[in-house]
Amino acid sequence: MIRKELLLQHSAWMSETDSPVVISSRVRLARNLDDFPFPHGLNSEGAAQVEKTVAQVLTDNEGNNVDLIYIPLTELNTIEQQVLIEKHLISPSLGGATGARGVALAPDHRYAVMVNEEDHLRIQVLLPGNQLLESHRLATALDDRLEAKLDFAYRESQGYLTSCPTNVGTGLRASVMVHLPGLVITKQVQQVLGAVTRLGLAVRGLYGEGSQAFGHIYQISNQITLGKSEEDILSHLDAVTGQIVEHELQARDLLRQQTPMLLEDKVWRARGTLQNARLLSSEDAMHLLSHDRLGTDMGLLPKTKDCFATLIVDTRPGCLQYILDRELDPGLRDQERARLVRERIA
Amino acid sequence: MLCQHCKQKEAIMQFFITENGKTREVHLCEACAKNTQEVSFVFHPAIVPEFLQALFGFNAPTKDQPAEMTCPKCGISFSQITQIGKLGCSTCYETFEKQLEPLLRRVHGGGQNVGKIPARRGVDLRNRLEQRKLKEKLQALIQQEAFEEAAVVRDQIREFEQSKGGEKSDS
Ligand SMILES: [Zn+2]
Ligand SMILES: [Zn+2]
Repeated sequence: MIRKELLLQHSAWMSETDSPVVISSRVRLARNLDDFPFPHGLNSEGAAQVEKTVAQVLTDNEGNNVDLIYIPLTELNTIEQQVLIEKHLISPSLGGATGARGVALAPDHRYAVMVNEEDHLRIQVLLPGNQLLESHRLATALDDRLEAKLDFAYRESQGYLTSCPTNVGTGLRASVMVHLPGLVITKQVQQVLGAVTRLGLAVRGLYGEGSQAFGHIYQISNQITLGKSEEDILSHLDAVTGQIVEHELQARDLLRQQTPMLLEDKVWRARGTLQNARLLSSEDAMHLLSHDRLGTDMGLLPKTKDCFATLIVDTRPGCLQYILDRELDPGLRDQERARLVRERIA
Repeated sequence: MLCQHCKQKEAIMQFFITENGKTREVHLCEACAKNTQEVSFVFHPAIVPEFLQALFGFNAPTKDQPAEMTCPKCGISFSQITQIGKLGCSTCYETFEKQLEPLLRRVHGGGQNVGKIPARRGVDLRNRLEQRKLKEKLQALIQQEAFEEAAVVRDQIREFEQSKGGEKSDS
């Protein structure tokens, strides 16, 4: 597969599902090789050796149903790295680092294994909708396949050993990406998400800063990785996610019953702007796309050609420039973003 | 350090963003800092170093202590660990087990590992745990005076020991 084709591939997690609130589910397992210091303590030779060892096992696809393609980050330019970050396939810290490091990708991006990030391996499975358990099943199977050939650092009392003690134990970080416009419009989002943080889960706005989350997209993830089983961690997150979905749907019902015209006006205005604007900042785009998605979810607007997650990602600065195949200054970016959205939403 | 947004210019500004009681750190160049709505904060799993340092520092050894212990494998000391907020290698967990204990309790609540056991390298451990479970079952059955069932479990334990060559039974 040509690199550009692989990077531009529609990521599996961006597909439309019948889940109106949960956009995607992610499971990430942190693993380290016993014989090497953790990545931050590796010299350039050591890092190259880890990369070589791990990449070899990752791409040994014979007899496996998952084909992984290894991409050394040193071979990617800034925009290509940004595309991977915007598609949630690598972390910003892997992109910003230097030295031997990379990512092994499945062609449909369901699997993305980072090499030499904070840990030697970060096995990630990212699926659309609410599929935490399935994501974990796939990640564990890949973990088993790798463990057959790699010696992972592990102790009976502390489980999988990680460079940061916040990940030790299961090494499992599970998260869901949720779209909560109903809770934001009805001003309940702080209250609901505040309660979530008191249940031992971490919440953050995925785009934007402070309490303002552009696109009304939030990420909920587990904090504790030691002293609980994988099943407990996942079922707790799953149960809380179910509650959040319930609250969001109630908020949407409330809007429909109490301020139906206001709601209709909001979503139609968003659709009208997206279809006609000549300049769109990425903040504007996110906000309007969120309202548009609320409208299609609630049956108030006809569905668009491209789905919400695809449009959110493709209008990010890196992806936009990569799709158009040229570097753009921010002003020109707003113009091209508006053009892309007009075409895709028609 | 390069700007985390454009990855081209040198980052000169450090932002601490507090959200829902959590603080995270972002490094940006001047141009990107002025245009922060373009920044996408995606999947940044790292916890703020300051937060970790505070956690570590909670019981970090003081400077005037005599010759500090270092990890035999990677050579790092515990005060270095508290400074960078990360351990040096897997052996550090053994070397600094005592010093790490209060930190792990604060972060995770103090539980022991009950998660996945590696399929290949964990064979012995899994056998040990299986055997322990059978022995506990045997004790419980004996206490309930369910001797017939206990005999069955005892045979299971013997069979297990012969096939896996695990821990010697006490009996
Ligand atoms: Zn910049
Ligand atoms: Zn060490």
